[in-house]
Amino acid sequence: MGALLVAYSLALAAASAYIAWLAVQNARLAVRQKALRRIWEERARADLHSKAA
Amino acid sequence: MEGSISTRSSLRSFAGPLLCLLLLGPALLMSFLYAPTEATMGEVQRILYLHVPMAWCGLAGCLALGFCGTLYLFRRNLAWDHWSQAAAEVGWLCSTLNLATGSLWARQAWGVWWTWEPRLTFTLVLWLIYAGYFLLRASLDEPHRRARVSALLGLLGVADVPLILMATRWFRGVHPVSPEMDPRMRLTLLVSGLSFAAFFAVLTRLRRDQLDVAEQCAALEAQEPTC
Repeated sequence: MGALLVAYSLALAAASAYIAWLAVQNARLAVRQKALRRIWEERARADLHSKAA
Repeated sequence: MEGSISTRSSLRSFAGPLLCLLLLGPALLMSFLYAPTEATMGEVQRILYLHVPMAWCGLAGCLALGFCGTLYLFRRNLAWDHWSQAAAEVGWLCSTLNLATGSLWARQAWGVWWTWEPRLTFTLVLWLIYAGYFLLRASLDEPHRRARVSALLGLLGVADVPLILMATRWFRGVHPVSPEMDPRMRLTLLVSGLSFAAFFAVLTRLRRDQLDVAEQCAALEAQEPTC
């Protein structure tokens, strides 16, 4: 019975660890996306200003 | 915004994996409560309902890796490389769990943690190919070169799959060969296999989406040196 519990605990831990790692990657990507969006919006605003001038 | 990052692929919700986790519930209940206890090995035999699905998913991951790698080689589209990488990660996870649960089972059944039995050895070879795949990818920076070389290594992994499947027939070993089962055991194994396959398929899809977004970010960052 001990081996059985170890096997299922191992599987649960491994799957949880992978999902947690995916969540961390998601969070990092969200930060990158946000930074990129800000830069592109600033660039678009600057283009508009230069055209208006 | 030029080259906008698609909102579809950005941060797909984790609803899919969580739903699949719920689907795993009945499979686990069946493994522990519905399937009868095996006469010779007792409770430990229930490892089978975890070990065999992990083996199936590990092999399926390798086949998906080879298939998507081949499509990349023909079409030179990095989207296929992302599928390959996602399948490899999930396949490696399953292969690791397959070896670990098999080792726990072997300790009870044969009295040893590991033996150089043909099927075990070929499974270890597959695990090493997966590990080599990630080392190779980490060592190459140029995306298309990385995709090309890793696709070739993926094909080497595919060549190992028939050896694993047929090892018990082609070589003499101690690994059990699909024994006659109680119908309840067979049903539990089937439900468990399908549940785990769905769970890992959703994880693969999620990871593929992440890799797509990461590539789009990298492309935009390359256009914007100040980022």
